[in-house]
Amino acid sequence: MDDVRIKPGIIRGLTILLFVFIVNYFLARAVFIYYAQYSLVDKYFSIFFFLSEIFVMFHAFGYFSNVYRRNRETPDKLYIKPLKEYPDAAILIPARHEPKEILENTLICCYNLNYPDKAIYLLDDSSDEKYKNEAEELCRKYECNLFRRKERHGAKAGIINDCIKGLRQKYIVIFDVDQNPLPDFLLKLIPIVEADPKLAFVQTPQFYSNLQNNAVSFASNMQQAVFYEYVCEGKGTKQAMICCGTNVVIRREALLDVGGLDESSVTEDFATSIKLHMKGWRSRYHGHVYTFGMGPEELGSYFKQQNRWAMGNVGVFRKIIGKFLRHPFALKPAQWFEYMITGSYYLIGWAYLFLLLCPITYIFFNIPSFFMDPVVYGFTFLPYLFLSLGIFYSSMASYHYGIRELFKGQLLSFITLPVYARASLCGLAGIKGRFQVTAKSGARRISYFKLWPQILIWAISLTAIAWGINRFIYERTPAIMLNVVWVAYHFMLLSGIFYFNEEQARGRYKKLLKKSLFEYKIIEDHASQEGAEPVVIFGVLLNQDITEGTLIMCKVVPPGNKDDIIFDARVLESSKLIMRKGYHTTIGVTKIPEIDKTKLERLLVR
Amino acid sequence: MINRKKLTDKIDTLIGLEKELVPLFSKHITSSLPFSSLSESDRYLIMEEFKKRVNIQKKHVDILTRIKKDLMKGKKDVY
Repeated sequence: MDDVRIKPGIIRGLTILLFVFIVNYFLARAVFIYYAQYSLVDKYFSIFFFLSEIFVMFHAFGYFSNVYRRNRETPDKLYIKPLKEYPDAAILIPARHEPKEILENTLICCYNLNYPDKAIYLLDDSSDEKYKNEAEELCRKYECNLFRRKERHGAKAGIINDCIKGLRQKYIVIFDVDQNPLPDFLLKLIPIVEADPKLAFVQTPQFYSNLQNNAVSFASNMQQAVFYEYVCEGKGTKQAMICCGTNVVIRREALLDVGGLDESSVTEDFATSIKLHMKGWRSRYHGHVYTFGMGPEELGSYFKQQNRWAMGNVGVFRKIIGKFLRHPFALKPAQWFEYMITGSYYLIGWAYLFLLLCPITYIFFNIPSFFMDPVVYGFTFLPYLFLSLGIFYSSMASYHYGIRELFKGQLLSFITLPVYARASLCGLAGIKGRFQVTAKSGARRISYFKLWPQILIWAISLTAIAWGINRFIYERTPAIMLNVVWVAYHFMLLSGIFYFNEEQARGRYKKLLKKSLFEYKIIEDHASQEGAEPVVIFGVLLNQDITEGTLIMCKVVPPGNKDDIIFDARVLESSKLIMRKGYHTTIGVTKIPEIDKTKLERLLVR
Repeated sequence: MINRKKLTDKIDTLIGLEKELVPLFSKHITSSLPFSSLSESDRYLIMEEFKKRVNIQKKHVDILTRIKKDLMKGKKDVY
């Protein structure tokens, strides 16, 4: 993304003010808890409640310190000389049971990279003959080296380590199988690593170009944006940028210096980064998108991905604490801070679940009873809340991300809290998870039985709202109303589970609708609405040009069925009017409204 | 020196690249346009440019296909 920053001075000033508000709230909360008269149960609640708040605000502080640094410091100037000689680079693409078309796209893009001395290696770990044959065919077609191993160990990290043993290239470039680099990826990045002999790797962002496919891919792209736009930029200024395992150029010498990628963790990239930094290697974040990839399109695969990241990161966090205690001066304080923040991030599942539980238990059992005086609460917590939201949204707006878009990312994070909680527990307990590949396609609704933790909390919240309103009518206590508001807010966020699970089912209609007849007529013309929701594709015959935002009346005629579905929808994209076989034709994209979803499913999914 | 089989295979690969690359990059880049600092008119120009490229790429595919046909018709095996 471009280096776009609006009013950095104002954002810096507001961030300092926010830090003051955080300290102010803590002091107020600590004083109220210390002087409150409470029972034993209340005492335990107070400890966990306070710890949860400290944890959340510690991470808020981490995030906003990166926002502050990003708005204070100009990224290191790059003194890059044009290359006289091009050092050789090995491009590694680890794959296991990947769909052929996804693999082919990546190989095409790597084949197309403008760089004189490159060698492409497909690291095929498939055990299924079908995938093995496809890998061989594609390697022949795109002149790739096919690497296989006899014994599987260490999943992705293991096969990369096995492969680099036999390589001689100066630089290793890693792409996940669904990542498509632009032609100048190597020409832009190799000079950066070449300019600094102590630079172990240069990391670039990921961008999910399937973000318009459905709500899950869209929201997960928004989460990535938050991570890459500010978190990574901040880490980059502190020499604490971590390797993300894909879209990265690594110096082979540095990787060998730490014994290759760490195979003991499912987040081998994160685990290896700290080893590199502790050995005095440097890292760099280059915040320009040179690679486009695919995000998870269904909740199931999204949860799997998050589960792996959470389990891996928390597992590495245990090691970080050990390293910190044994070698406290091996890294600078800012680097330790960043590693602590990244490693502990997924424990946020427990912190939020506890914060979510408190207003519910108050409504049902009057526990915890140590809530602040509402006036003090209003003067200490609300400034922190509104200012943090304000800085977050305005700083992201400078990168052209809207509130509604970012909110979807936050919504998805919220419904993933039970996944974070479970996975982080496994990570803390040292349970080693299996490396699971994130599915790239085939959006499907998942059974609500599998989503029982979210549904259970959702149902309890609903009951708490009803009971809280009932209590408020009779007791007229402001504290009850305050807690009802909090539960209602959590309830609204948890309802996101239905939004994401139902929305993704619509992705299927895209393919199915292509098989159906389709007609429409224009009934109103409108300007395009920003943030319009995606997306169903259709092809139609028409004698008029249409543009984005045009309201159209659509009729779906499923094959062999007389029960048509008629609905209106706005055009999201359209071709120009063209002549096809003597007919005026327009190809367009629109979205089917929620109300027709069940009807369509019944008619088309048979 | 390259024999006919290898040459036609190379042409097939090129045809594949021509067919796949432009639509692929078009899809990727247009998906990121809403988050760029480009104005509506600039975005429109980029989309138009991709449309032009699709046409050029179709011409390339036609030319490559013709070359391949000519090669298959000829009797020479080494080029």
